[in-house]
Amino acid sequence: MDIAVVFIIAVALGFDFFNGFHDAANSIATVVSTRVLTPRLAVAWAAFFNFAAFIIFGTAVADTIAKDVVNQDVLSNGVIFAGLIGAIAWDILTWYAGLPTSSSHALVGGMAGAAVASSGWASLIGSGLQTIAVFIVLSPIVGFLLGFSIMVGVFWIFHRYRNVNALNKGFRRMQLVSAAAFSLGHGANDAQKTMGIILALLIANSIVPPDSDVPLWVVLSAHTAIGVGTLFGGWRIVHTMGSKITKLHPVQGMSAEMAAAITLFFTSHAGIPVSTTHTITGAIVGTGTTQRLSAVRWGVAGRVVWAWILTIPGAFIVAWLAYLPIRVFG
Amino acid sequence: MKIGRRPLFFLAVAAISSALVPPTPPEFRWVNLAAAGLALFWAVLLAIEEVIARREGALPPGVVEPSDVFRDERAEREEGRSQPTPFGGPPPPP
Repeated sequence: MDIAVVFIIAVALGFDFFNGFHDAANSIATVVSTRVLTPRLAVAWAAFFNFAAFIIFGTAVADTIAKDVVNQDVLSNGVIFAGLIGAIAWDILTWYAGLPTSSSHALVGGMAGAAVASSGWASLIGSGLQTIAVFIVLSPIVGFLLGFSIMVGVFWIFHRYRNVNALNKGFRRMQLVSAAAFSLGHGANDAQKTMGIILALLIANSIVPPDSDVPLWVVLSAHTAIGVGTLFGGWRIVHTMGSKITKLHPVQGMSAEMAAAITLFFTSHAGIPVSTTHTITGAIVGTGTTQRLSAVRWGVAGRVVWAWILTIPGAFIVAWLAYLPIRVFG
Repeated sequence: MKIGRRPLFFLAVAAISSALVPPTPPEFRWVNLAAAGLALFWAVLLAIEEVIARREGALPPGVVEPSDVFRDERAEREEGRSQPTPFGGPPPPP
């Protein structure tokens, strides 16, 4: 294998590692804040299920990233590398600016920008991009509606039950299941995006045929990278926040995680890359809305909308710029 | 009749889901339609609940404030050790 290919695979796995690192809070915050698990156990729990996702889910999202965003005949080492640089640079920029950006959307925008810089607008696959764009908006909406519905369902079932302590104990245990489910969904959807990039790279270098499935070593390395990233990201949270996390009722944490997990299971199965951060944010807004609209921190929700609008064009422009020196010197 | 903010919010969600039907690929349009239907369902139920509550001057019989039912005493005891997360609830009172 060419040294350039090995280097780009390493960069892609680095992107996956930072995805797990960055999103670890989403997976463990509710179980830690409700004191269901200690931070150490929560981190290990999330990392394990991030990794275990490869056993349960296929590679439909990876196929979408590799084959339905950019025409395969324009894919080259330079395009894929510039796409990754665009996504990583955009992630760092928005992290610095405090925008809740989506690594997934940045990756799609980056790939598209690099492909356009290389071969023009005709290199993009409109139908694939259209599906991704629609689900940028739809996945938080589905998370929101499921979060609200699950919370209301739980209220209907248990509202006459007066043993609050026993009830909360039950919900605490259920949170173990919901956190595991969310981590599975996160691992499935986000790790597959990196698999898609590596698959595209292998196809571009004729290492695998264009109709190839994702090789097992790619699947395992992507899941390992996101799992290890979660492990390290979780440790960072343990050190900086300890157990000082906002109080959430166990029932809210469980409902939000279940709603987000259901959304991620569906999109992973259907091969649609979505933002896990936006999905869990929508689900948490849904559970908060069962009390009253003002119970929701609308500032966070508003920043998610800004991230929707800015991420793909932003990563597109950065990747487009990153490809220019590659075209000149490459 | 004045409609509260929550039913209107759900109506807006239903409208957005419906507006996204044309650009959605045909095999996934059921997601938009299901989301719009669910949002409309909750909008109607919330509006009815508000009308009943306003007529009776209180919450409908049998409805208990969720925050009372699911109050997590153990977490509240440890509340002094809390700090916001990116998507947590409102910060605890000083």
